[in-house]
Amino acid sequence: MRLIPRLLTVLACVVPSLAQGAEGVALITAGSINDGGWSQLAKEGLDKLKAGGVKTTVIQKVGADAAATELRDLAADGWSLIIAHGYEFLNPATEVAKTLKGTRIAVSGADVERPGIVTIDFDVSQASYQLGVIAGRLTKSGKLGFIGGGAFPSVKACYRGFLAGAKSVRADATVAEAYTSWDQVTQNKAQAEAFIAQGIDQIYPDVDAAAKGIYEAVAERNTAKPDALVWTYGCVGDANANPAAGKWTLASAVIRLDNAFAHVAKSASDGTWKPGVVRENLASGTCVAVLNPTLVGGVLTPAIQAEVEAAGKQLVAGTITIP
Amino acid sequence: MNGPVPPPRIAVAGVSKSYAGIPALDGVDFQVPAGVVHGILGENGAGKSTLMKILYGLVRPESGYVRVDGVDLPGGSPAAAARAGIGMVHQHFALVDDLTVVDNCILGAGRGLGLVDRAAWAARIRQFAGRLQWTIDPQARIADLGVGQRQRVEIVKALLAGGGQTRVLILDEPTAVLTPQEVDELIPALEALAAGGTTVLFISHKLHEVERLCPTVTILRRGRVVYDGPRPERDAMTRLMVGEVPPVLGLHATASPGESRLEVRNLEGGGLHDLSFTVRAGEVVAVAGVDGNGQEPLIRAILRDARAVTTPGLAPEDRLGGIRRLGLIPDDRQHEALVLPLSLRDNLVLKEHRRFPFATSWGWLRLGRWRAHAVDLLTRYGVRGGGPDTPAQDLSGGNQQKVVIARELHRNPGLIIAVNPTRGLDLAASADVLRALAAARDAGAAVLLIHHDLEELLAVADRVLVLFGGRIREAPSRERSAIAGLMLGSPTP
Amino acid sequence: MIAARTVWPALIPFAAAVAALGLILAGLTLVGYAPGEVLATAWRGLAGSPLRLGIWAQEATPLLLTGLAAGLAFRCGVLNVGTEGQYLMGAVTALAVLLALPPSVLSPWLAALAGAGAGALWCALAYGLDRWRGVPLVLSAILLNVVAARVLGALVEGPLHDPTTAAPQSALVPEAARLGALLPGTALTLAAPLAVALAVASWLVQRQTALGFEFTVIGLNPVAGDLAGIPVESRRRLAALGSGALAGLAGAFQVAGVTWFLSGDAQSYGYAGIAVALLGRLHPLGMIPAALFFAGLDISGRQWERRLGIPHDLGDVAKGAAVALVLAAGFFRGRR
Repeated sequence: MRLIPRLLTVLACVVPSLAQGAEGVALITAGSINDGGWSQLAKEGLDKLKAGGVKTTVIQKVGADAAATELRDLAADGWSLIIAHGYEFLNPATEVAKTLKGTRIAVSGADVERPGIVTIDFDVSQASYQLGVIAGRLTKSGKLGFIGGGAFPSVKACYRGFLAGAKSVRADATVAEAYTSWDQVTQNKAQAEAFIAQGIDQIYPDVDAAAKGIYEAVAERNTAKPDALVWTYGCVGDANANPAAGKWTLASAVIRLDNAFAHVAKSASDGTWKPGVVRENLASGTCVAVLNPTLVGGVLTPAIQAEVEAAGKQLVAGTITIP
Repeated sequence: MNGPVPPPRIAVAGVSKSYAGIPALDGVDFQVPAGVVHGILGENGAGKSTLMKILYGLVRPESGYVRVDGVDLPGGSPAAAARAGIGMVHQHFALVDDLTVVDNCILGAGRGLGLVDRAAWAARIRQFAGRLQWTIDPQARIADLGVGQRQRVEIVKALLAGGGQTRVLILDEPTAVLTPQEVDELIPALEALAAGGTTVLFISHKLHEVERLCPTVTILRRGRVVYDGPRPERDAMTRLMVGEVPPVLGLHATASPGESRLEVRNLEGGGLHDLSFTVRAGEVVAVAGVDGNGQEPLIRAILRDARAVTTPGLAPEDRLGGIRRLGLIPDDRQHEALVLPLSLRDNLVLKEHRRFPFATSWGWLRLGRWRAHAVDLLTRYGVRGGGPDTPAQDLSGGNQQKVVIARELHRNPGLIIAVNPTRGLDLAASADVLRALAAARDAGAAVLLIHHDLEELLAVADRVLVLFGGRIREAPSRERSAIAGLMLGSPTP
Repeated sequence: MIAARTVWPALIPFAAAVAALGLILAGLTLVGYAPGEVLATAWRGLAGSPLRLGIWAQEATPLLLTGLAAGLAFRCGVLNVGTEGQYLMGAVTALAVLLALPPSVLSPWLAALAGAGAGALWCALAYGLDRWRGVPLVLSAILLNVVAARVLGALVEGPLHDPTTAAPQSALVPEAARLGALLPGTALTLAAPLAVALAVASWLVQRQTALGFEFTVIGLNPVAGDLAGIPVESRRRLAALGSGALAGLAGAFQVAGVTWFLSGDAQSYGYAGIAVALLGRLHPLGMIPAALFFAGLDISGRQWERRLGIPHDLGDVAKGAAVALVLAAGFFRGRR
């Protein structure tokens, strides 16, 4: 069995060998890097690293069972850090990492501790709390809605944060929750329409790129009834600048993937790399609430702004915790 | 019969064409006036097919020209040839099996697109067929028609394609697949066409048909015109075609037949009715009949039917995959006997490839034996045009048939079935085939010959059976007219 | 004449592959890339180190197996375009075996057997629909490809699901049950030499045994084969089963040695195998370079994207061009 590696070594010596020393950050995404959501955000985050002088590459549209092959290929190609963007890559990343030398693997969007790899957990629940504060202040009916793409723990946490934030400023507020799909635009639109019909006037979607349907429903409603507006929010990505949603989006709980990627890249290069869960949250500056700048000073009054900032400080300090 | 002198209906002048440096036609000149049936004769490979392809615009000549009624025919364009009024009936039918007669005719006229009035077309088909004393059902599917009917459809299709203005109708070996009766019916139809002003070019190597039909002939040999003018006597024609007098065929058995080798008892089904006959060692039993009267089901039964058909001489283990292992020369050598892309070595061993000494008992091939076997057979049976490694498709038709005969007869099988074994072959090659069958018979084989050509059949048959309407009858004698009568279903002559 | 006829067809795939590469290089040169750099990048990606060579061989292995699968059927005139589904059924069956049996060194081999059996059965199903229900094989095989993907999805999200994740993924094959890597850092396993051995064996069967000769005869002229006493139907059945088994084996080896689990939308190499078979002109040994060529294009495409910023779809364009050129060359040869 030792014969084949030796044989390959001999073969490889025949060709001009070019040691491509371990360097650079590679990214694997499940979706297309133009998906307007999770994968595109990762690509944009990586591009900021690249602008900072880091060698980067991205492999898009990788199925979970093809990930092992891609990881080995990247490792054999000499990339020092591979970020597998999505918790579906957790198993192959863990297993392949056991067989690799000199290449480190981080799985972003997972909060499970696995030997040999770093997992990056994004806690958006604190930023969601801040959005809840806004929603509680601005709701007329006192009825709020949350739509998640799936009932995952991280999604549920956003719901709980949003609920707690709203209740902190309006004790009688209620948040209806619904779990739909990450990619069915029409299903999400129908859910938003149902919420609106129930008198809900604040809708917080956590459904990735499929939020498009929810924004459509809100825009249609607000065009039809400009006297009773429904407000919406962004999650993970920044919906404030979204041409379809921007007008009716008060704020977004964003994940600054560039920030998170920079953290993990730094630890990989400066010797502080330690397998385990890296928690990215409000305190780390990665999962933050961003107010819609066009509405600041208008609907988002200075008083509300101050309240959101105060909540943020207390969340970082730990005096407020998400249940 | 010579019409008004200038211009001739079709004039061929100085036409040459070569393939890979080998001349197929070399300065061919001849002229044919309007309204005659003109024969173009030659052995296989004499250049007839190339000439026809040039006339029909499929092939562009390297030099020379073709004129129709004094107008140059642009080479290399079948469409232009069709516009000039040239219709072509190919030796191999160009009909779509799954379509009806009407649809094939419409396709042939290039009216594949747009709206077509099928009823009008059907009426025209009936009208054209009627002019030739034929009945054709325009709604029949080609697949359901016999060979003779298909040929008629081809002719009507060619005439219709010319819109009734067909000036020259080319028939390439039209009788190769026809029975004597069908030929008898074709001939007056062609004469009727000629009387209507159409010039018919009749390509054939069957001299007796040429004699009945063509007052003038052009004879080709090795790409040159060796004769052009009034039809000579048969011996002269033969000499002109082959350069020597072919052997006279009269290959009947001298000894009396031996034990029974093939017994057909009360065979029914597939359109056959109570068929019974026996073939004995040392005799050639010929089955004559118009195509489509039960030949196919009969062949199928002989190969596969274990109940009504018995083969006393053959051991049961000689059946493989439900097929009787006997000397079989099937109707269509290219599709039923040979694997064209494979080498002659492989084709010659096929059927015996699992047997000693060509394979071990484990099925491991001993290819060295295959080669020696092939070299031996190619020499013994005089196959020319290739060695053991030549693909079968590179051989001429006559040599392909020799390969089939070598494979099927070299083991001296006790029973031989041959179906139209001379189809498409020239005189010399046909004679070789018939001689090979006679020799096998003389060596003690029982031979069943199912054949469309009555002349050839009579040359070797010791007994003649006639198949008509799925029933079989023994001809009382080998007299041509009596057998022809039986083939048409007349009661005992 | 004879030499030209026998040598020329063997050269066609090479000519087509070179021409496809040439087209790509020409296109890249036109838009400003240095062809030397493009080639050097590809070569380093393929053979720049023992690891890279190992990865190349690893990626060619499933292609060679599915190529042999398609080629075996095609040569016998059985248009098995169902290798995609047979691969998936082989993979998921092997996975079930690996998860169910106590892990041991024998596990991957038992799984390979089970996978081959499942692939054969899946092909038998398509073939049976053709024979007995009159559904043309091309249709039934393609339909069963879709069914296989759905069956795999249902199993992966159902009985084989990994309870620790919400993703549509199966549980992981235990480490002790996996097919070990011959070269650490790659997933080059014994499947690779075995695939080459199977190619050689296929070639020997085809060239040196009565069975292989009969397959060839039937593929070229089934009527003549029948009249020569070859049991055409049973030979075709055998070819269909063998083809399905090889495709299933490819899937099984991939699960046991490369992916170690399956996701609901698992990747299949079945269709790619058809391209390999065509580029190899159905010759089992020709499929070795053909598989290396396609795997090489995949790897090179990724290298070009990473190092030179060339869109990786270009590798796919080259693959398509190579197959189209081979088919076109065969077509024109056939018309001559």
